[in-house]
Amino acid sequence: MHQTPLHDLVNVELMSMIPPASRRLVDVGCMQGSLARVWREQHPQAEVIGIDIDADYAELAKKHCTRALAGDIETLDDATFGSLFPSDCWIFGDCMEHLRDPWAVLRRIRARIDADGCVLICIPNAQHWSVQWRLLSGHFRYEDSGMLDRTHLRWFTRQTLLEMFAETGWAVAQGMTRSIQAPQQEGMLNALANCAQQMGLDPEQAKRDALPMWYLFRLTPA
Amino acid sequence: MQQTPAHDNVNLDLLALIPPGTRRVVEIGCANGALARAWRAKAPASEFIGIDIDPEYAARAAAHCTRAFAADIEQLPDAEFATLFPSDCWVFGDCLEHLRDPWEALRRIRARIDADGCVVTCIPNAQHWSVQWRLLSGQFRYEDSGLLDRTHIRWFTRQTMLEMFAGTGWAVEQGAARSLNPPQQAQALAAIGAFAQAFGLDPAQAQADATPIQYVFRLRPT
Repeated sequence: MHQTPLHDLVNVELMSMIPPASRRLVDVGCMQGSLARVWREQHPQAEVIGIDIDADYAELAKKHCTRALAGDIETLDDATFGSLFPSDCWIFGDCMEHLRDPWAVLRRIRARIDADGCVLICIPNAQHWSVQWRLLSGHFRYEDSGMLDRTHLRWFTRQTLLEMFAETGWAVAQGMTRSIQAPQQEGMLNALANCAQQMGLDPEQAKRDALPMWYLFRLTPA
Repeated sequence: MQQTPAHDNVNLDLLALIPPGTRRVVEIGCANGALARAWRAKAPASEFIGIDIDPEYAARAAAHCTRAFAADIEQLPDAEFATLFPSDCWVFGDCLEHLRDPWEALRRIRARIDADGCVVTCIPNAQHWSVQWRLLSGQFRYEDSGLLDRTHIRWFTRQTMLEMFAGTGWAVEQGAARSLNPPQQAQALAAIGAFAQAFGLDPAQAQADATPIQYVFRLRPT
């Protein structure tokens, strides 16, 4: 199966969460290294290691990273994984939902990251109204990219993200949401709120949690 | 990650879909071999190959299969895959949703199966009201077994199951829904009907599609 098609967009919100004095970043799912390129223009002293499961993407990323390697972060042997430390900022930009066992990956990093290190994550919200609409209508169709990217294996909501972080030894130091305003949004959210009320849930909470398309987090060791 | 806990329950709806006169069954995800045992009690002349990703399960299944081995069907080299043919009935009982690329697995079998062969499958329904409730409430929590089994990496609705079969060269010869009727179901379905109506969807269809917990199918090559 092909990975998500290559793009050159830099996730500006995610980049704004990188601590400015980071010494060595590890970007998992680095694609062609756009984030490394922009970050190192601004911080020429910082090292950036890029990893991508697609060997062609990793090859392109070599140009912008201090080191780039092709590999599946879930199956890296201990020696290769060990070579990614010391490091103080791990980045998963639209990547964690592609892993089979993101819990194990977060634990494995937690055990080795610098004491003052952090993990940055941008992850789609499975509770977004458009995903709920697709389940309701049955049109839960995998696509080449977007919310239903066929390489997405894991689905998280605000609630279950927070549970995953707590279980794997991380505390949320910063969090934000990204949304895209769509014309049908207001009607969808109101209908979801009604549905929540009928099911005995808090309608306002259901609306709030269905609004963000992505969540961004900076996590520090708990 | 541990696989779904093995159990000795036989899926009788699935068993009933295996055609009498089947010469050689291949079951993917055979767990302890409970289906092999039940089938071969009915059809002792029939061969039964059981494959499971978990070596302990495959070892236990060996007692009930003519051949059992541990493997990931998605990683099986061509030479080994070829030893599974000729065969005329492939069984995926609560298994396709554990594959990264079930579309590819169905195509690969389609290319080699006997002309009069079939695939028999049981797949959880991602559109089930309880899954919709979990998204609406944010409690989309992976569990050890059940609809949100943590080893489920693919989500299908009636609609997208039918699309997958048609897209990979299979026609539905027989299909059935498996449902439970817990006390909360009526209230949840009423809410889903109202939600559907608010979006111009057919409320009766939305409710019908949200009721089954699993679907079973017998597929024939098109």
